[in-house]
Amino acid sequence: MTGPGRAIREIHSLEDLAERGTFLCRIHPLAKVLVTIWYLILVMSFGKYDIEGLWGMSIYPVILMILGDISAGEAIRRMRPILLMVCLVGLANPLFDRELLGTFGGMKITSGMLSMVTLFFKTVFAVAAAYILMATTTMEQICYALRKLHVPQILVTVLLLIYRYLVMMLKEADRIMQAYRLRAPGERGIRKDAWGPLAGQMLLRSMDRAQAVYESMTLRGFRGEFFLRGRFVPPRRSAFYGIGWAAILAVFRFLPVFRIVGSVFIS
Amino acid sequence: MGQNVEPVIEIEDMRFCYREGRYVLDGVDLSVAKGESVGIIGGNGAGKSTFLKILVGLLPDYEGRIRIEGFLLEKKNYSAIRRSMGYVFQDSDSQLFMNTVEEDVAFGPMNYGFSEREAKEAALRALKRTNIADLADRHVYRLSGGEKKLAAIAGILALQQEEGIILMDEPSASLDPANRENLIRVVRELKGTRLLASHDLDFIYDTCERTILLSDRKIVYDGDTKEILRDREFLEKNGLRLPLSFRFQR
Ligand SMILES: Nc1ncnc2c1ncn2[C@@H]1O[C@H](COP(=O)(O)OP(=O)(O)OP(=O)(O)O)[C@@H](O)[C@H]1O
Ligand SMILES: [Mg+2]
Repeated sequence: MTGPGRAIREIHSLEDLAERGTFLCRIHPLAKVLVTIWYLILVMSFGKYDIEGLWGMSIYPVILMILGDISAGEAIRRMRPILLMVCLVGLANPLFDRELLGTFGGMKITSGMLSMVTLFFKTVFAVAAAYILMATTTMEQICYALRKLHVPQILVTVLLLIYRYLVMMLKEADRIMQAYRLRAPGERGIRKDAWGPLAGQMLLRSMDRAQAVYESMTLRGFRGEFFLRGRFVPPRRSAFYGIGWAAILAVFRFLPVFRIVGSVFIS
Repeated sequence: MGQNVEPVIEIEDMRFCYREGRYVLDGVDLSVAKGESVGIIGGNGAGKSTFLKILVGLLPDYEGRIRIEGFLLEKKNYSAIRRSMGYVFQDSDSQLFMNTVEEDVAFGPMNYGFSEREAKEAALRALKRTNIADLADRHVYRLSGGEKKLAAIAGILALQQEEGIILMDEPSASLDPANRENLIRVVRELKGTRLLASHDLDFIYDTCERTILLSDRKIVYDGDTKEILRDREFLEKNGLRLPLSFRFQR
């Protein structure tokens, strides 16, 4: 299977996850989107060196992955490229920010190292939250929720189209690479001089397809509105879910819960 | 043909080019009456798909005049025109975009204000008509080529109004004989105006009384389907071959 082929499968399997009909999938999308936004705001609000406080935020992905039956290993595997990128960006921190904070097992700990670790975990948490949302909510439902939040129609439509465009582009890339391989057997990868035309082809073709899909949507009456289909838990339960998480996350944000619990046990 | 009935589609001296100066269609006149079923035939690249796309307003930069149900075909009338017009793409991959077949077929009805239940019912009815009710919960991206075609057609049938216009680009392509026959039955049962572009001359023979032949940027024949399908020489001159069923006749 080609690289893009694998990527398409990943996207589809994420969509499959979102349609399993577990309890989490049946929570009203509005509640899930709001909780995710709230969680992102809280995670980002931690200071550069506040790794201890940040740790408390791990509660959200951990609990939801258990409740939603979402495999953490799968999630990490899928997030790998993003995490790798953040690591690379974060590596600059220890180089520039060398103020000594103390030693740990004979190793010098600088504030740069601390901020690198903090940045890393912020990213992990943010990506995990987005992943959980995607694994429990279809793109249409997310768009529906965003519209309910009065995000402008044009932005939501663009978001949906970018998502569809991404899928189209991967499909095109997959098709082109398959066609290339079939006619260039025994070659590993793609010859350098074919990169240009192939990339150009891919862009043009996927733009055409995205255009066609958009046309197909407008021809069938799409005017930027999204509709919610399917069965959801009663609204009161969804509201309870949203408010519950908002409160729990706020507590974990502003109180060092882990430390309090720890000190209770130690004393 | 049907002169005394008001025309639903009226095209006067229509010209179209994708690139400046290179006309794909040049000087097309056509009038289609309500409820008529018209086949559009022609070789590869003759402009069949282009013609249909112009009629649904996907290619707005045409020259000449087109009226559909009395509305001039221009941007401000699109929504009124499209409500009564369904269009099946030649390439069904472009047409299907929701996750499951049923969701995709229900997409149109939902947009036109059907309740969730009504949309579901309309979708299931359309799926039954195209013989793929058992595919309702399947994922679109896991369908075979022919199944996708049938799903795409169902998506249009779900929205179709009794007297509406339906345009289909190569509807019978990649269908097996049983599904093809079923599609012929479905098309014949439609009461609205039908324009079907196809190379499948047998299919056109079974579904359309009237046929137009596109060749060299123009309509070179407009008339009785049976008549043109007997004219072997004329068809071959325009890049088509006599359908099998006709070769063995006489
Ligand atoms: N997007 C485009 N840009 C430029 N030229 C195009 C485009 N689409 C089609 N054409 C050209 O317009 C002409 C008519 O194409 P069209 O797709 O309408 O033919 P067709 O009759 O549907 O053919 P087929 O039977 O192969 O589907 C062809 O010569 C084609 O190369
Ligand atoms: Mg065509």
